[in-house]
Amino acid sequence: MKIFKKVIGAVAVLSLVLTGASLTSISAQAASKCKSPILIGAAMAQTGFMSPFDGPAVVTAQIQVNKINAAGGVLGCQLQFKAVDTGTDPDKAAQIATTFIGQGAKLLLVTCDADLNYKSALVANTAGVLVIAPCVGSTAMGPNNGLKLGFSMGSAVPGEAAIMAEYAAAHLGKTATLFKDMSLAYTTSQCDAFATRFKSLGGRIVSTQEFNQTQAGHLAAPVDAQVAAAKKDGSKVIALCSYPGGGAEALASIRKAGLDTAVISGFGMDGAFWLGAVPNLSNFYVVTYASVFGDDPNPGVNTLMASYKKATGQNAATGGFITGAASIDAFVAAAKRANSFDGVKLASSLESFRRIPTVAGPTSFSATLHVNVTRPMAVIQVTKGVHRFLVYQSAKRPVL
Amino acid sequence: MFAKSWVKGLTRFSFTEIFIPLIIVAGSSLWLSGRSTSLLLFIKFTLCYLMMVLSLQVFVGNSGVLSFGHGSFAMVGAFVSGLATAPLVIKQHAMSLSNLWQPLVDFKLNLGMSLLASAIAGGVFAALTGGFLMRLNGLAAGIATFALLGITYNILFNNNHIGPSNQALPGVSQFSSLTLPLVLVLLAMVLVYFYNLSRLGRTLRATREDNMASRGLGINIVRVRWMSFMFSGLLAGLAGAMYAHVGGAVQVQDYYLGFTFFTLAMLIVGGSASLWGAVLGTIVVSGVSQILLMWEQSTPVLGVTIHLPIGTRAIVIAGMLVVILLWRPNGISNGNEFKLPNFLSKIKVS
Repeated sequence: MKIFKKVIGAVAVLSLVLTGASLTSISAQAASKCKSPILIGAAMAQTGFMSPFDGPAVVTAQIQVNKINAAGGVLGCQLQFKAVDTGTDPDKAAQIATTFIGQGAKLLLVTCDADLNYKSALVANTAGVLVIAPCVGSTAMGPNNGLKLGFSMGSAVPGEAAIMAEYAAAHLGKTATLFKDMSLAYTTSQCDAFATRFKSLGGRIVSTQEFNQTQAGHLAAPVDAQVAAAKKDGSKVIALCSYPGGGAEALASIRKAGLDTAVISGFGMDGAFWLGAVPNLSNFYVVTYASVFGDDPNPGVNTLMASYKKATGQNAATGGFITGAASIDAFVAAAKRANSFDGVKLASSLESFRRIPTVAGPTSFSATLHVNVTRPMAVIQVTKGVHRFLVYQSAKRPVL
Repeated sequence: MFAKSWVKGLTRFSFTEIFIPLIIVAGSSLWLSGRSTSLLLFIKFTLCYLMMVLSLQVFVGNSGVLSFGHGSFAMVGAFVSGLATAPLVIKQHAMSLSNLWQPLVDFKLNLGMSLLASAIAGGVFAALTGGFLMRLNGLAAGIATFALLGITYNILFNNNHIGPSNQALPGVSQFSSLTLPLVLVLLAMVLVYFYNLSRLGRTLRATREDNMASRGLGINIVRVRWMSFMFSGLLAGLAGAMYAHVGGAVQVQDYYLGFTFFTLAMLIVGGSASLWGAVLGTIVVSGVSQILLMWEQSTPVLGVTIHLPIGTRAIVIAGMLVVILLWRPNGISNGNEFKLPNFLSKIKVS
């Protein structure tokens, strides 16, 4: 018996030595300028209700990594991109993030919601690794929540809602009814910021109609009463601060009640995938990152669209898809500036960004603000169910 | 009288029934957590689930009354502990806390005290609500506890004066190592085991087996259920707080339907009638979930790598529950405490 154990022990030791040896030889081969490729991990949702926002960003991040590797990498290093589905579960995301950090990731990409990504972002932040949420639209991402190494490449609500208000006041009318979805910080703060900016432009908020949607993405209760109240308001414009499915259901109720007023929304209502709920939609405006309808004036967007279609076989659902590629752009630009992949150095390099070009547009950060509020966003109009790009516009005065 | 009944209960004490599960939990936690930081985090989350399943075992297992309401005690525990340990600078700057009630902004406890406070909060909340709920039986009790979960969830989800409402509460202090959560769980296991042996535990099981007969024996059903509910609420409050200290954040959604059904599934898969069932269920359900997650990440498990498509995890776990429940309706443990396999116990006797 003892002999048997000794044999087993010897075999185990021998196999360990052999694996160790083979590993060293592999890494020795790869060591040209960089010991091993720089790992970028994406703990983002490819299933669950965040997947329409996260999924496209993951794809374009991979596309951009390939592009950068083909051009020779960064600081002499190749990049390696790994994505694991979190299923929109914050705790699984934290664990996946921990795996990536354990594997030595230098950048962690996290889910596009500051509440859902907090636990995973914290894992990276604590380990001193840079963390970027491609499309968080809330200023909560960053130092406000204690995430010194946390950034978002999203265009945040203070800018987005200001653009909505500025466009509405200039082109649609000076009286507004708010349709405020209470289910996310993103949507509530969007309506609040819209109101602030709209009033500062001489507009008047006639009433605020609150509603809620469930985590499964349906209205928590019918919005008939809210629609009736909005009808009574007779405002020139309705600001719908929401996202599909509940947001689409609310919009369907508005149109069904014969209320044809102009409706303006933010990135949450981008895309054509929910138009089935509101057939023949007209007089609807959406402020988003870019147009996925083939008419964007930025050639970078259309090139990325083509690569996206090649990679996935379908068109990107929302303009948010460019933020994945932009996150990689920002990481690369920061690494070049800092001449390092150290999280703290990368973060201070990002904080020094002033209108640095990325595919998502010129990007700026500061020591207190780790999201964008001044970047131009696309205003898109929907007429008879067809999207048409109108203009790229940046907030004249973000609501901070 | 009470002390005497404890001694009576202790005659049923069996060394292997408690020590082997303790050793299994402690050993596997320490062994796995040393392997990678990712597994360390997994073990921490699993220990929180185990605490929650122990809490459910105390009440659901012994009384036979299904409770969907324990998530509400976990929520309360998590909120108390989270608000007590989040630093002042976060409370003043986090967007989610801009309307927080001033006394809560100033509320500050260290980690140990905050855990104690959350357990007390869970226990007190259970005591208050249990006074009414424990009068119900069967399906009515299940639905009423579910209503309690809904009420607590909606209050916490919508009120931004007492917490972060629908957003995350950031900056909750985290467990620095595995020691504290592991020790808490091991202590809870010992407490639950002796509780199950105690007069109170056995009386409660009598009410589960035969409601009428136990009433005929002079057992005050409402009272014994209420006391167990309180103890169970205390453990649930602690479980909720531990969960917050592992993730470093509190979000009320974390303790709602998913949490409730996941932990109940663990209890039912393992077997609700025993401590061993609770332990086994937690290990099996979270173990399978972890293995599938690793395969989705193309990480080898004991040298085996299978590349699973995204989304497999949820389907396989649900399927596994069906199979186990068909194969063994009383759970894997069949409702028994841990027993050494026959051939081993015979060797010991001879």
